[in-house]
Amino acid sequence: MKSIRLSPRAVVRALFVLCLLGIAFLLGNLGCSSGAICYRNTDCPYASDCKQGTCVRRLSSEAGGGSSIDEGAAGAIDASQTPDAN
Amino acid sequence: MSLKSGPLRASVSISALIGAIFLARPAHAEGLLLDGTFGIGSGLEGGDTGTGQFGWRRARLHITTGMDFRNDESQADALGFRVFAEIEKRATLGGEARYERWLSHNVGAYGGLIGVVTPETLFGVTTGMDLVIPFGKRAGLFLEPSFSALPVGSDLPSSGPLVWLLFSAGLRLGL
Repeated sequence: MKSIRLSPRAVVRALFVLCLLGIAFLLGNLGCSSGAICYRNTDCPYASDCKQGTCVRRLSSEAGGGSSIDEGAAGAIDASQTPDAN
Repeated sequence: MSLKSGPLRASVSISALIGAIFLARPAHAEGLLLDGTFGIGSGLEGGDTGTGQFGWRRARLHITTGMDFRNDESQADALGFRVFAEIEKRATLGGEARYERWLSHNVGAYGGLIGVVTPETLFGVTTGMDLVIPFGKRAGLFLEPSFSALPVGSDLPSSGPLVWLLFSAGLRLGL
């Protein structure tokens, strides 16, 4: 049986193409979440933090009496603090 | 005519030596080769959705600029530095230091450290490949797929790492 020999350059090109295809596949097929979920604190507007995938407003020290996060009495989240959609 | 006198011999030797010194071409010293890059990229960003599950979304747009330093006697090895900005949502500024290994003049791979420094911090490691499509002798278009894992920083709301699968493209110029 004839063996196939690939040059190092051909291997690198193949890996490069595979990488591009992988990214295209992920972009096209995996269920990317919408902009409604935050993954990073900088997904949220200024003076807000990302908690449990949702942006919550950070209270100022004067108004919050030392508390840093405003989740409301029952943990309700300020609806105006949604992450910016992509 | 023979040169018998000592002073005459000495003067001929000295003048020949001086002539050799001034006419000789300077030795080729070890030099530094610089390449500048400017590119734009995006891709996928993965992270903890806050429910313990890992999710993906489109990564923010990255604008990157930087330089590669190579020794002209060992052009396969390079040290690269990048500065990048994410220009969507709250803009961030970060940097990258990488070791590059060029398999040929146009194909290379790299690994290094990456981080975002403001307004929040993120730090991790990165690896990727470079393919340069030359335009003329000194310029080229670079294509760069990369993978980065950033497990540390104040930008992370949970303990899970943030992952970037990015594809960047731009201009590469020999300086």
